[in-house]
Amino acid sequence: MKKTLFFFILGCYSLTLSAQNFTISGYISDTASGEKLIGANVYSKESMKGVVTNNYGFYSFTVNKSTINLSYSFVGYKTQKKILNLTKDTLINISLSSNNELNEVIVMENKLESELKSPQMSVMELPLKELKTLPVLFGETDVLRTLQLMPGVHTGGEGTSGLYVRGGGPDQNLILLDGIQIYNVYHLFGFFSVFNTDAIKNIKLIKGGFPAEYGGRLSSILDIRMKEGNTKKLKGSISLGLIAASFMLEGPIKNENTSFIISARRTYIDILSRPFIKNIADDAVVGYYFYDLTGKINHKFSDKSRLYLSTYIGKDSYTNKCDEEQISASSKISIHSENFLGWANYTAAMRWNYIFGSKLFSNTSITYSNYKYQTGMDNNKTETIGDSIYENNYSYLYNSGIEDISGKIDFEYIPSPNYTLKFGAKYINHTFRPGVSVEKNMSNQVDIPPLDTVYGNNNIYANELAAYIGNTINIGKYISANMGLRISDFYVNGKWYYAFEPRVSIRVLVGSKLSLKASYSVMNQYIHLLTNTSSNMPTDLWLPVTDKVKPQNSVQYAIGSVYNINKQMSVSIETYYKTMDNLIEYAEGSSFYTGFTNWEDMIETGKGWSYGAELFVKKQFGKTTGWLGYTWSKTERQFENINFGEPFPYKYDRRNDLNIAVTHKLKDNIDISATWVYGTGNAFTMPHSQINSTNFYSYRLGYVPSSPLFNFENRNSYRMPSNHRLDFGVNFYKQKKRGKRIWSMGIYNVYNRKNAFYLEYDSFNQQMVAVSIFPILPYVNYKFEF
Amino acid sequence: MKIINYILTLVIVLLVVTCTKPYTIKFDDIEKRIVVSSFFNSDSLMMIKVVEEASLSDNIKSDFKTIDSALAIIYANNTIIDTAKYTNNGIYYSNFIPNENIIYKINIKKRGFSDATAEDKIPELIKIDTLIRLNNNDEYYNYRIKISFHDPASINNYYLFSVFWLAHYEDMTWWSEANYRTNDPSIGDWLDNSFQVPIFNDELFNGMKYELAFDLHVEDRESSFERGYCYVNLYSISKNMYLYLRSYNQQTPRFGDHLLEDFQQGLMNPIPIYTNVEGGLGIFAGCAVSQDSVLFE
Repeated sequence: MKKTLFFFILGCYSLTLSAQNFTISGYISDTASGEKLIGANVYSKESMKGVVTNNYGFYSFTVNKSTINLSYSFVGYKTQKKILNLTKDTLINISLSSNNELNEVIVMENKLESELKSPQMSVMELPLKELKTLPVLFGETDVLRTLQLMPGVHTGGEGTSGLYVRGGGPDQNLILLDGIQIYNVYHLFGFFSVFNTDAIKNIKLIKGGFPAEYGGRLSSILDIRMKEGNTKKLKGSISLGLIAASFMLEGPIKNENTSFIISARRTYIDILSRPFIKNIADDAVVGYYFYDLTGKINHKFSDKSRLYLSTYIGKDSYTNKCDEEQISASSKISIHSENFLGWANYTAAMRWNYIFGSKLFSNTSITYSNYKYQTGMDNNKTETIGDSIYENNYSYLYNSGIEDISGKIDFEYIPSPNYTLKFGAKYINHTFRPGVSVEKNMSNQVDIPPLDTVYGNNNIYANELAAYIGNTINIGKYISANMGLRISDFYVNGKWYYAFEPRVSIRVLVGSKLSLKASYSVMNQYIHLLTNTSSNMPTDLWLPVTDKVKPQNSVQYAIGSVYNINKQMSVSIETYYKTMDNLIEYAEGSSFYTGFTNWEDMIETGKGWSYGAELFVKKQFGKTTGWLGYTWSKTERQFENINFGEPFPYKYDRRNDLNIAVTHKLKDNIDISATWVYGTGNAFTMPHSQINSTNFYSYRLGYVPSSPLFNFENRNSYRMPSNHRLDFGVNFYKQKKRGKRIWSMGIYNVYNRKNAFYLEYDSFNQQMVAVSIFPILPYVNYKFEF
Repeated sequence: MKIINYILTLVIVLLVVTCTKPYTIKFDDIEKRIVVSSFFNSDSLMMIKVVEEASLSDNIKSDFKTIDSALAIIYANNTIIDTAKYTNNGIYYSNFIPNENIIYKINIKKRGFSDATAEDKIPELIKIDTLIRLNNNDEYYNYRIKISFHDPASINNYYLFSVFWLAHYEDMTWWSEANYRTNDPSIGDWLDNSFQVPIFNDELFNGMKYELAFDLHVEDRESSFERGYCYVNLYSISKNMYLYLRSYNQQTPRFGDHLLEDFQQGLMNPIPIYTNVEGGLGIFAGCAVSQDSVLFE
């Protein structure tokens, strides 16, 4: 195995060598902001070869000529051409200017062509323009909800932001913000995601054919890159919506070598709803809010060395306070009670990019991620009888969460446009906090003993290590391949797990407009999420593998093709088959509410599989842009002790999903947009019928009682009604003296479709009914960019 | 700011209005099947209760709709040996007492229903070897009873135990369930509950002698029903019976009239009731009982 790998890499490398080579390398950035451009093209027409910039805006292009004509291009920017006479390796940083006229046909061609020619498949890049213009719930632009419009991505429920990718669960998505893993990406119990779109530069979702540099989850990688901050001048924006306000500020510090960006968002649900709640109950104060704060500083030491510091802080908080007084002739009792619930993410990262020579790019990072969930109550009671005052203070606090400290190093070696070698390693130190309760009771009464106790599960410490190597190679004009291997291991409580994860993606060009692609990838996941609700609750608990609960793993095969219909439109079709092992599920009759004392005994381990076909038609350029995504899929699970060992549909198995998103530029200052979604209802379980119980004792005593039992047939054999919805939005832009003003307004659920959010039992009529929570909802949002 | 207030009010009004129930899932559209109930043993005639499966919209107030005068054919080792006799209230009796180690099969035919077929056998009887009575330091559960038995090796055995008083009043006698509790490792923490059945298997003591202890409440008053002879039954039950009672236990204590509400609130994962009846539902399973008693004078 080792020998084969060595000779393979050597062979690949030798293909790329020639006698007289010159390398042009550098960064491509936006002229106005200095922001690095990810996925910009560098193309040589003579050699018909090209490269694209990596996640940090870096490119390296090696040629065997001394004179070369290069064009630098990026969607929405003016193409820049350079004729270079080379005598040695050269570093050239390029700045591209934004092109608002959108008539740059060559750029469009290049973008579509690079997707056509890339060996990578199952990748969805979310255009930021669409993200910011498409209509959304309450007018809050949302990365995850917009991603749900892509084929192969399902939603958990109406209005929620959960991602279910190709039959996987919500725990099987690795969500990275600037390379840092975020464990809970939801605000308001899953209705909003934590990402503030003003600070985002690039969003990429990988559903299959995973490159070797990614790992740790079975179903998808969501790689979100933050902006680096404007290096030229101070810029910013403020935004006011129905439920939240946000701002973003970016600019240089001292000179162009150092820049910063800071963005923040906070809801004002608590402030706006206070008068309504006051009317309902004078004694109660109920409040809920969330906020998030993103910050980043980057400094350029030299053209070859850059340092980035970034942080994200997000928090949700719910409180319910109540003061009560009971006065009688002989006594007075005052009670103050307070319940609270909150969860928060804190992350920080330090990243250093360094270029060795002109062909080897390195990224070294140290990151910290902490997710905390906390709930509790305080109850203070004071009783005055005559001159005596009796006090009793009780408090309860429950904490859980997960904390990661990780180090990572990645290298990208680009000896020629035909060959790229990536390799690196990652280490994560996990601290799992499965739940600790602190209970206190203090009283000045001698007959009530003081209580101060801590109980629950101990912290679990684990170490995860991974190393990878991946090659991208063009073989001749028609074939390109990406082959890699990732080796991962996990150490917890004296138990050591490891896995080999081979990854292969191949592309074959058929003519100039059609390419065929295939991929194979093995993924391993060493942590589980214990959850049994459809919404993304903060109570969901991250837990490591144990002796009994093995690592999850998956094998995914995918084939597909990309066809460029014309210079503006492309269509891709993909089919996939994925198997998953060691999945966990609550045992029959168990749930979160039965306690965490022995969580391993509450779960069952089983397997699952998913297969499907995805169609994606997109028009990325012109006055009208958008896409159509259709998914046909089938996902099943099988557990030895659930459903009598028979396979059953996964809760989020949805046979058909159709999403259409369109944006049209009516005038220079007005655009309109609409989305229409249709999806098969989620699967669920309910009793099929009633049967008489056969109580053994009574039976032996000669009496067969008839108290009914509920007969559940197969698990998830029922379907919620299918859901569909039309959203519409319009954006008005106006250039003002000090900046640009944007009014966004629209309607969520235009035709007031009552999509089922959950089921309710109507005991009066003895029937189940589906309840909808989002009817037709207008929204308005004001934004000012300066 | 006024505009925002108006819009916010509108949103809140819409959210309140939206708590409607637009879709109804029909419950009564099911093809009803035969439900069989029978735990047979070697000390009495085989009793089989046969009822109709009920839809969720059927209001079960008194009893399930019984299936009367069906044809209930009984096989022993695949040979027809009997046709069960119908009495009333959906109850049928065999004309023979079943024996151990014979596979009994029942086939119930009734026009309008699919045939229901099930088979099982009475497992080997495991006898109680000893019964010991001890005093217990508990105000309510004032006695401790220990029984021991020998679990046969090489096969999986399943058990159930029960404790009864034989009550007397004037000319009448009847069985009265005793109050007891146990934390036997095979059963787990278990408190007497007339709706649950303490079942266990030999996972922890396969092929070994096993001692099972439980604490018993015995009334102080001599006239009480909960004095006199206390009977302890150890049942050897078939795997089918064990699986059925396990699912029965799981569903019974938690679910009642509020099953659907609990379930839809996501509080509980579904618990299917085990059945060994092909073409129908319910249970047809065998057991054998060993009994011992102790006198509280």
